[in-house]
This record gives sequence, structure tokens and C-alpha cells, in this order.
Amino acid sequence: MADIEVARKAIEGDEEAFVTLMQIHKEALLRTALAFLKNEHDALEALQETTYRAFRKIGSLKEPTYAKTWLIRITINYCQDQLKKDGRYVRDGKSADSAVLDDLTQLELQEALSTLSAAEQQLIYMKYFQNVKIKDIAALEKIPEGTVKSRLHKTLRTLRSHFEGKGEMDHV
Amino acid sequence: MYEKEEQKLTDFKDRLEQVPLPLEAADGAIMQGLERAKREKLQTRAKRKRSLLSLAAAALLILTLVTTIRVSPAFANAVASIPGMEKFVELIQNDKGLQAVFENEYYQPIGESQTVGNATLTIDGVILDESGMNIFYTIESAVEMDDIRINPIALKNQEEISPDGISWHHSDFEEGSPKIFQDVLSYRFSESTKFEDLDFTLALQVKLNGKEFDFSIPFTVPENVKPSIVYEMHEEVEVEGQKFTVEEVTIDPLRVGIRLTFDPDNTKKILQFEDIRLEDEDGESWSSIANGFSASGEAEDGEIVYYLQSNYFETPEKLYLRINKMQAVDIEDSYFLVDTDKNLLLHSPKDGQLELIESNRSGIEMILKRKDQPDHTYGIDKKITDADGELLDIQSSGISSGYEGKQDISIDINDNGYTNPVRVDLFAYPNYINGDVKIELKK
Repeated sequence: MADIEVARKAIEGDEEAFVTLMQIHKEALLRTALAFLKNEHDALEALQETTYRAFRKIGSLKEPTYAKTWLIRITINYCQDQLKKDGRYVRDGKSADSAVLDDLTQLELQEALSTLSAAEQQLIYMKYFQNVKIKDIAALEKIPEGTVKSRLHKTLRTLRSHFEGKGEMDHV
Repeated sequence: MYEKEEQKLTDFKDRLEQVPLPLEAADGAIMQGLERAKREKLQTRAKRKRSLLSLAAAALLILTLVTTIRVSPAFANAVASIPGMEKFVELIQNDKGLQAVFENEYYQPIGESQTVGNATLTIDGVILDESGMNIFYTIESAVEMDDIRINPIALKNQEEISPDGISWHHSDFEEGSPKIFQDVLSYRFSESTKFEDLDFTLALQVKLNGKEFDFSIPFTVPENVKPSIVYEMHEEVEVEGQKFTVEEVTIDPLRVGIRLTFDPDNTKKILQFEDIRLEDEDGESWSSIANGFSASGEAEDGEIVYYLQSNYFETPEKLYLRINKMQAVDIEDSYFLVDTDKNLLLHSPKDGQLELIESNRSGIEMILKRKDQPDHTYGIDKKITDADGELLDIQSSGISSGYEGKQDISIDINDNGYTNPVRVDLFAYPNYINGDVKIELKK
């Protein structure tokens, strides 16, 4: 596959291939950043930072097949650091810059997601937003598939309990 | 087991996928990230610098996003009353003119389908006027679509219609593999056309997961068009000594077309109209540049048609055409010359804002220094020719958004053995002339 060939060349240090790799995945990376940071300006910053970090570390990527997932992880890590650093993601789930995605139906979910740990958020994002297979998540994290499944299970349970608590209040 | 939670996550994902992305600025961000990484590889422990995107540009982008999400209740109601229309909302919500088309029930449902192999094409409906036809269509596949490419072959009436332009949306299944794809195919006619006979056939080739499907669907549009409203103007205006004539303004439900001609004796070349709009007597803006086609023709041929979002269904008492700021350069500054063998910039606008970083036969890297922060990011190149006047094939061309007082430009050329120097005609350049043109549109 052409994309894998591009990734392989990029890992070998081919700068042009690296730029192509970033362009292939820029949409996915921007969406990832938007999901966490909620505004376009910060998302573009995140893409820049991801490019910066990826270019410096691409030699450490072993398997070209995982290039996209690897890049998304860099983006998520950066976004989560930003949110922590800015302290703007306060516990009620409302971000300071709410221009992009905060319509009412999503607020509740975003609030629920914000209560998850960084690792849990990443897992949910990979599974449901990027449709990464459990097998691949396991390979990337170097943990057994069963462990991924049980973590996913636990995370969904956390989300459910959050919704149920919230749901009752809504119906009062 | 956790269907409800999973559904919520999927909904959020779908919602996220509707947000338009700043893809042009994205290339800039990638280049900036790369440059920074490269710089740091060279200068060990250099102080980390971060190039900030223009705040003004960011504010503009965010504003755009907010407006894209809010739709008028009238529009939402109009769309909700047409079955299967919900998915199309995101494709039309950026255009106030198209929203008005729905509010005024000018959209005509069709509902003709054809199945080829395991794919079905449905023409959901059309908006037809004298300026063009927007075809709302759905492609359903029995298998999950990883990749879909649309190739409009022909739109036929009694004979084939040769359009001035066709546009459709790029399909991106970066995330997920849906079975349904919906889009709008927008034909702009090369001249104002009113069909006697409303039987059409759309021939469309769809490449689905690499496999080709050829559709040909006959359909009949139920009602004929509402007539264009044409304002014959032929009024010459002058901005900082440069003359152009507003020939006419044509208002159709799909778009407003403003035809301008330029005085051949002008000493400057007008590159872009940054601010062109229709306004009512209270100064309220009724119509501004639409997505998709913004202009056709070239100022070089002495004529250009600008397209704005339509205000066909609005009836202000008075209507004015306003033109304020435009990009213009002296004729001799409307291009630059690079010798890519010698890596030399031979000619460029005399204000010196363009600087050559590096060039070779397969590309040119430049920076555009600027004092102001750009409101919009325009590409720099309109066309590239070699010393023999042969048009060169541009592989890619990009410009970053402004940062640290500059924009990075990168043009990749296909080296077919062309003769140096290469000439790049400017599409846009940050040099402005300002006027305050206000012309009343009179019947």
C-alpha cells in the first residue's frame, strides 16, 4: 500500500515522505485536536506541535502500519498536556473556548469524558473516533487484547454511571 | 451491552466530522512544525520558539465556525419537512442564498434512482435556475465505502449542456466506512439558460473502493425556473486612477453574478476584490462571496464575473453594489521570474516583499514578508510558464498563514525539461488600493 510506503520512507528519514505522511493524516489529526481543544486556532497549534514532535521522533516508530495511530497519540498527548497546563478544562466540562463544538447535546458527553483519566480518554478516542481495532490498540500499547477489552469495559461503565447520575437530575 | 454509551460516542464523532477543517492553514502548520524541528536539529539547545498563528485569522476562523453551526429556524423547519434532507444541511448551511431557496420552497424533490451492481444512485432533488443547477444526490452501497470518487460525465437536456464549471464536495472517509454518501453536484451554466423541455439525464461515474460504476439517470424537473433579475449597469468607476466598468448584476436563486470589465489602459492589475457585496439602504449586507465558485474569467482577458451568495428571495427597497478594498499591483509587478538552474530571483514586485529562499528545477521556496497580518490566505500563483511561454505543471503549491511577519511559499514544479527562467503570474499580492464604490442597482 502506498501509505505504508510513505511511512516507511519517512521513518528512514526522508523529509519529503514525512511531509506527505503529515498531509495524508492532517485531517484526522485536526479532528483529534478539535475533539480535545474545541477551537480551530489551538487545533492548528496542535498540528504544528505534532509535526514538530513527530519529525524528531519518527526514527523510533518501528512499524509503518501504525504511523497514523502513532501520530494521533502524539496529538492527544499534546492536547491533554495543554488542557492540564491551561487549567481551562474545569471539572464541569465547560471549556473556556467553546466556539466550536459545545452545542447542548454534546455538553453532557464532553463533561463525562472529562472525568476520565488521560489513558481512558485516549482509549475511547482511538476506539470510537478513529475506529482503531482492539487488536491494534493492544499491539501499540504492548498489552494483551483481553486487557484492552476489560479497560474499555470499565471505561464505558464509568461513562454510564456518569450519565445515569446526570439523567436522574435532568428529569427532576 | 453499552449500546447507549456507544451511540453517544458515535453521535459526538459524527458531530465532530461535520466541523469544517482549516486545511489550507493546516499545511502551513505542518511546514512551521517541520521548520522548527529542523532548526532545532541544527542549533542544539536553541531557545524554543513558537510561531503563533495570527490571532486575527484565528478569530475570523472561529467566527466562521460559529455561523456555520447556527441555522435559522425557518431554514431548519423547511429542511425538516423534506424527507431525507437532514444530511444535506451541512452542505448548504454556509450559504444564506441556498437557505433562502429552501425557506421559499424553491427546491424541487425528484426521487429518481438507478442501481448498478451493488450501488444505487438517487437524485433526491434539484434547484434549477437560469444560472445553473444544483443536484442533490445520494449514493448507497451494499458494502462499506472506504473511498469514493465522483466523476460527472454529462448533464443532458435535449443536447449536452456544457457548463462553465461543476463543483462537488470532496469525500473523505478518513474515519469509518459508511454505506451512504450524500452530496450536491453544482453545475454553473456558461450562459443564462432557460430550458423549454425539463427532461434531463445525468451521467455520473462513481469510483467506489476502486471499482467503477456508470450511472445514467433520466429525471424530469417538475416546474420551470423563476426568471433572473438583471440589472444593466454599464457604469464606469475609478479607484486610485484604475478604471473598471460594472457591466451588469444578475440575480438568480442560486447566485448573484457581477460582471466587470477592466480598462486596458490601467497602470495596475487588479488581482483580488477583497470586499465586494450588495447592501440595502441601511447599509445591511445582503450578499457576500459564496463558497465554491467565486469568480470566472480572468482580469487579464479584461473581464471577470464575481459570484456572491444570492439574495433573490429578499426584497429590500433599495440595493447598492459596494466595492471597497482590492489587491492591485503595477502591471510590471504582476509576476516574478526565477531561474531555477541558477537559483536566482530575476524579477519581483519592486516593494521587495518577495524573497527567494531556495529553488531548483523541481521547486521554488520563497517567503513573502509582510507588515500586516493577512485576513485571508490567498495562494500566490495563478499560472507558471517557462521562457518559451509553455504552461508548467504545478504539482503542489502552498502558502502558510502569516507568522513572524512573513508567509512561507512552496511551489513544486514537474520538471519536464522546461526552459528557464520561469514566470509566475501573481494570483494575489498584499498591495492594496482603496475606494468607496457605491452604485445603486436600478431596474
